[in-house]
Amino acid sequence: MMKLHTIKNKTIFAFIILTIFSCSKDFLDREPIDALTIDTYYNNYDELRAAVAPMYSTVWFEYNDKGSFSFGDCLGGNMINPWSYEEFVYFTYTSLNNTIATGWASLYRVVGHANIHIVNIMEKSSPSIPEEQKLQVISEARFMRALAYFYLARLWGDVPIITDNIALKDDYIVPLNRAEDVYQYIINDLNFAISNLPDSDPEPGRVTSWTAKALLAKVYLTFSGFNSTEGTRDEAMLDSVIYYAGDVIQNGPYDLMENYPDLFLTKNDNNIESIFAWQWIANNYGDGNSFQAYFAVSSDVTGCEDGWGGSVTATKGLAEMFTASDQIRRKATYMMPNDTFPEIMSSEGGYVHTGEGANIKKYVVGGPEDNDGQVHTMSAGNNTYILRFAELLLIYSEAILGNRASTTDAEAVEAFNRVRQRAGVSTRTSLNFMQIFDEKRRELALEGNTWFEIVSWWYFQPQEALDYIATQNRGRYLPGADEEPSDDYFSPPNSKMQMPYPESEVLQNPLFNEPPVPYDFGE
Amino acid sequence: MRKWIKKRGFTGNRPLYYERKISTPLIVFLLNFTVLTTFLSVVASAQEGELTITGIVTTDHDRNPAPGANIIVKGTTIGTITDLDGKFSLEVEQGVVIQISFIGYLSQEIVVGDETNFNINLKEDVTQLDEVVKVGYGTMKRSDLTGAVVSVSSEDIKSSASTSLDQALQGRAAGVLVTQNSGQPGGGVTVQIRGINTLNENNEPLYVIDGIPISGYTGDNTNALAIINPNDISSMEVLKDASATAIYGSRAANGVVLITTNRGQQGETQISYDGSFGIQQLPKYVNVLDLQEYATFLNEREEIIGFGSKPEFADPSVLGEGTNWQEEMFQVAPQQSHNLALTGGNEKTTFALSGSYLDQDGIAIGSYFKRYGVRLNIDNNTRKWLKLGVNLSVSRTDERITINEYDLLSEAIHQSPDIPVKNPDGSWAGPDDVFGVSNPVARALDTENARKRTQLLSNLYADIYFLKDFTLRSEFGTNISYLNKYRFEPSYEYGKVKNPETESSRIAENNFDWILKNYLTYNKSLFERHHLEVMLGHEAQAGIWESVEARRQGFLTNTIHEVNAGDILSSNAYSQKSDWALESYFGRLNYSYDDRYLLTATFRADGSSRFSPENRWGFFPSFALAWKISNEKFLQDVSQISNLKLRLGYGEVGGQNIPSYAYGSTMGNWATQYGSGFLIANLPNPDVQWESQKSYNVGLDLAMFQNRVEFITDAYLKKTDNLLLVLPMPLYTATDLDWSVAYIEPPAVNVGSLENKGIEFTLNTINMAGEFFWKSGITISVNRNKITKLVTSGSYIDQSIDVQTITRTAVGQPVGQFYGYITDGLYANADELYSGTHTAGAEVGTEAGVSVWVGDIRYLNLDGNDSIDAGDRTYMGNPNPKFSFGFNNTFEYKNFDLTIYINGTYGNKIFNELKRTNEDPMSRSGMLSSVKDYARIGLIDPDGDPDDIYNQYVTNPGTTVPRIVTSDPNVNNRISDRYVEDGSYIRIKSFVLGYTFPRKWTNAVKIERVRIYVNIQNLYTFTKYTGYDPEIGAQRQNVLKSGVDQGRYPSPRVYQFGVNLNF
Repeated sequence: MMKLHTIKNKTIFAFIILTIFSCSKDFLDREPIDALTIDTYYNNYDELRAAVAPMYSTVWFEYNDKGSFSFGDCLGGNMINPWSYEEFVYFTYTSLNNTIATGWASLYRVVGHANIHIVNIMEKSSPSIPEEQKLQVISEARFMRALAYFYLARLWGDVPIITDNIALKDDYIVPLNRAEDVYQYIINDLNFAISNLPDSDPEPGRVTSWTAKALLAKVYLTFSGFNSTEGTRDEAMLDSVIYYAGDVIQNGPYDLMENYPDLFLTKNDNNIESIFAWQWIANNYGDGNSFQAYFAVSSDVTGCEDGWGGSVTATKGLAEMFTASDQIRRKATYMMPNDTFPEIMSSEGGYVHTGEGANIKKYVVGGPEDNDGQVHTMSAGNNTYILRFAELLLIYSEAILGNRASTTDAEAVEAFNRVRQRAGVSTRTSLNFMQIFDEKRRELALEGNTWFEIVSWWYFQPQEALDYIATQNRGRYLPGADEEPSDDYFSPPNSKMQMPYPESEVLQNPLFNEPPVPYDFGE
Repeated sequence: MRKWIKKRGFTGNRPLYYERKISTPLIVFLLNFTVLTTFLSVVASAQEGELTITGIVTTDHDRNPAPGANIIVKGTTIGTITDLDGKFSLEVEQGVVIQISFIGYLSQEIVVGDETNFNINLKEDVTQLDEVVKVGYGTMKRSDLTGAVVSVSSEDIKSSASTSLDQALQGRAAGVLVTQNSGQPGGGVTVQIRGINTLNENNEPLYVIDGIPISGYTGDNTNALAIINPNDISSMEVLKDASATAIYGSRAANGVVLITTNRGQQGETQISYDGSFGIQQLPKYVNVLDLQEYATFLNEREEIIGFGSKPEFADPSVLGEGTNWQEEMFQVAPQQSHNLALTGGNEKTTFALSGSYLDQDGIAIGSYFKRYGVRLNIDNNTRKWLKLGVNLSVSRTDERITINEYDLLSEAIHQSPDIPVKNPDGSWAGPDDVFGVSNPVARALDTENARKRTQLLSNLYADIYFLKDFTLRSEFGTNISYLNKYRFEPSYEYGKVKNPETESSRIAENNFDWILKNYLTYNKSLFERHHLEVMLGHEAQAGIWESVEARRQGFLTNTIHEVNAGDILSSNAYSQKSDWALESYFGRLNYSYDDRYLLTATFRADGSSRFSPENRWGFFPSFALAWKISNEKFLQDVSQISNLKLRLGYGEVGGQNIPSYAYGSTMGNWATQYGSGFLIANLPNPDVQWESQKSYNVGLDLAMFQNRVEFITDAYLKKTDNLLLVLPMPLYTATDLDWSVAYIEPPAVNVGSLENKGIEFTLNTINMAGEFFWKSGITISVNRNKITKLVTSGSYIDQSIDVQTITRTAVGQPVGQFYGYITDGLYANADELYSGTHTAGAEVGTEAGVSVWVGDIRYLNLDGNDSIDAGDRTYMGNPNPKFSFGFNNTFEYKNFDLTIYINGTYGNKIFNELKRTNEDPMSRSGMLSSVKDYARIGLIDPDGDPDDIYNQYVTNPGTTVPRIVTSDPNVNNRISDRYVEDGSYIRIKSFVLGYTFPRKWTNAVKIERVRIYVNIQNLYTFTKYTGYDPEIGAQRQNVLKSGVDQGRYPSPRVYQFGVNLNF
């Protein structure tokens, strides 16, 4: 009996000891098994390229989704919906505005993703990847960061320059930086990109050194008037614009497309005129272009659940811009009663516009069958232009005009007339500022640009820009209505020319109430 | 098994009634007086002689037999005990008094007269001091507890007639605040034990079901415990203070609820059936505009803004009431439940087997919850030194959650009354405007969003008794679950709202958690007065979760929802997988001296895979002392006090509720033009470490008057440090708490400290103990919490709705207060307008359509600067109650029983988001009827300039609804105190009336017991809140944003009829 007992006890003790020490040392090591981590990524050139691939679309989605048109065209006075975004047409937005906050968040998300990729590629990528390939991908990220800051600087002015997002967990109370430093930061990023990007890229739509030069030209043109006290632009910067824009126009791979409406067909994404565009694919929410979801007249047009644009129309002011001879661009921009669009609802012989309103046409591409399936609900495959060759030509003309009242400079006039000729309207022999401004507004209407032209003007001639806004008729354009709606004019105060910081940001960071500080560029 | 009563002293010739009467309260005295008079009259008619009496002793109103109850002839040692069926037989002289006693129950005395067969029904005493209760990794006698532990009995659970057991906790345990987040069948619940203990989303206690830990956290509006059948529960123990919970270490920061299921008993197999049928209805509608009112309103609005009405509204008086969307969305819904249980066994083996079925339709159409379950518990005395057993439960739930997932109840309020539900041809109708609200009735019925979950819980144990005084317990448990999610978005055409794109998604998730534990207990009494118990153990647990999803679009019809029927070219597939592990060492020492002084000390060390190797281990000690004052000499002669105990405790517990791999950073995969693209998915924090909580508790237990009055009070102070939080940060950090495209999850950070202090009272009394039996129980819980430190630079954390801040959690303040603007009526005329300060950047009085104007809301300028801006926001109310309470009354008379249960909260505030969205006078669809009170602008001089602001005034200046304006420059519907309402309520939670048929009737049909009952749940709610239901809780269990009503599914009123049968 004793013996049996002893054996039993020994077994049991052995069992206890076994279980207590049964957990091997790595029992608690549980790394992710369904996702790559920043420590297991960045191994080769393909992975680096895949890291910046979403920076051509996904990261911009929420800015493109509402900010782009609310700021560029509602504030710009081209488009009106009395039910929503009307606060931008009427200048009644406040710091509580949702679109302002999501636009702000989206732009900073671009900055954040770019920062993290840049740091990780420098610190964590495989040493076997050639340096020039790393620098190329870093340049793509820095180009995107520059573009995001360009929007931030024009919309808000003084904003914080964020370079290390991971460090923010320890202290996210950062000061505002001066707008001029933000511009300098953008120029640095673009110069880096020009030096390190190739002249061409096998993948269409990827940025090259030409893309960076073209954007730098636009940045310099905008910045040239910043903080001007004499109502003039900085000549040295204007020279830079002429230098970079001229280089791209003369030596770059771009040209105008022949037929203006063709620019906006999904199948013509990344055409010869496209310098930079956000690259959308029709897939899930967030992968594609959501523009037509908000602006197409009905779901018959989009062939999807969306098409909420029944009450969105051009403003009377925009309609005044298009003369009787300027109907090619007009018809590609907004619809008039009885306009026929064979490319939309093509299986039913095309869409014939009915109803009273001048509804939106540009970027409205129709349903899946009109686009080889490249349309889903809130997710269409057509690109969003950020910079196309026609705009670069006008930038070039504007820079040559510079601070003069008018110019007959051959290159300026020629560049300008190329845009006019393509639109099928008469050419000019001499140019002044207002002519170029109006041409940009017509050419680029509903492409999210007009407000930024006004801001760029306001930088060096604030009162003139405010006076211009006061002359914009922002009433609804309803050419088919029995009763014409009233004209609407608004005179915003100077303070409305820059967006308010979202209130939730000010609540979380009291330094937003303090004056901006100079940015420390290091060397 | 045998339980003997404590011998009481011989009372001589003193009249028997006298002994019990001493010092009892008046009510008991009166009661006994009636007993006495009855007794005297019986004695007077009694005759001398020997006879054999027989009888059966049962307990409570469910009349289960009481095996081993003592039957003693009063004043003698003559007696017997009842057998396994509660029966006894005894020879006595006529006229004697017999005393029936049973531990845990009030004794009864009966005079033997002519009657020789007795049915004796014993009533539970209120203290249950001798009851054995579960503590972590062991059991204890209730009287030996040193920590704050409260039990909820199976009787309480059954009488609440809840479909989920956490609901049964509501108001029944002091210190436990239960809030239903949704009245949807199977819907979510938040349970807070002693306040908000952590800032991260998981504030739910740890549930340990027969040894298997299950988190109450789901992160959505479903319920983790809905899978458990409440009828299977024999008891729930809520461990409240750290001296009780520290043995669970890292998972115990929010308290622990131990759940024990029914086990078998020796004897003839008992069969019981419980079944009920009920109907449920919506207690109250929200007032919305009917068609005439809507048309009138739109016409008035069009006069002001120039657009937006309809030609058919020209003469509202010819219109009918239109569609009442709430009536269309809600229905009278049936529910039924059936439970069959078998228990029995012999000396070697006992078992409990049960099967259950619950079928509950929702009061909102297209929602339902079904549960099927089987449970088997077996215990086997294998050898003298070995006991083996198993608990097995398999259950399946089937629920449809379309209503909650698509927010259809708020859509039903938002839809306009001019839209019919169906067209004359029977097809679904819809708005004549693409921008309109879709058809919520059609959506509820046609859009599939369902879940089926199968869960297997098993726990295998062995108790090995080797060496004297040593027991080794080994347990292996698993929690295996399979969850299928079904979604189908049909193509539809509801008027102008169309969706030509169908989409189906099928998700299969499976989860496998296992736990292996071994612990050794040494139990020894030394030198009579010293008692020692030591426990040491080790535990390892791990889990793996996987999911697979398939998705397709392009279905040709809406009839077949399976993915195979969709367009093969649109196929999408996803899979995910994650795992975790936890390893622990723990131990406990219990020492008692002379049954007067008790000491408990525990420690636990936990290693968690959630932290980086450097920060992996956490250590959690606790100490508690108790002094049984009633066992001191100076109190032994005070017969009124049967128990008086003082408890002191201190303990530390931890928290690890952060996402897996928060110390590192993963890459998310996004679809792009260039193939897969990879972006960082979260910001890493390699320094993140354990949350730790220190808590102090002092408690007093008092039982008086032969345990007819029990009073328990506890006061506590808890300090939590290194609070874990996935930190909401400003948007410029590129992080976002809510899913947005390309979002980066913020880092998990040790963000600060908070403290909770509170006091709890429980008073249980038996007010009448005779033929008319009345017992009552009151619980009151008071808790205050305060943030003491935050490492965020601004020392506060904000939460928002539509990127507007709605709550703020700040140092020195309670968690999650509403934060916004304070309103002061509206500008009634130009003088008032110009005398105030105005929204920053807004123009004032320049033009009615685009500037701040007469009829706009006046916001208080709190920071005294020259405009209304961010600095003018302030605290607008606390969503946490000042106190909560439960009040339970049970009455029994003859065969009738009645339970009335009331609960409520006081002092909590609700943010009525439903009102904010539906009282907006510029809404494009339906609105609350209060919108009719919009500020109307009149002309002071009717012949004067109609556009001159000095000629305008508000004709109804008392209103709270602002004027009508298209582009509202004053942001009248910003987050302000206009939408903050008092959320206090008192609810008659349940009203149960039961009748037990006399045994002699039921025995004839071989049924031991039949009880029928009627139960009305949520009979009435007293509240000032204007929404559906004041019980809001925390959306998706996020405590930083609780009390925000975004269209919560209201809790139904239920009329239930049921039957309990024992064979």
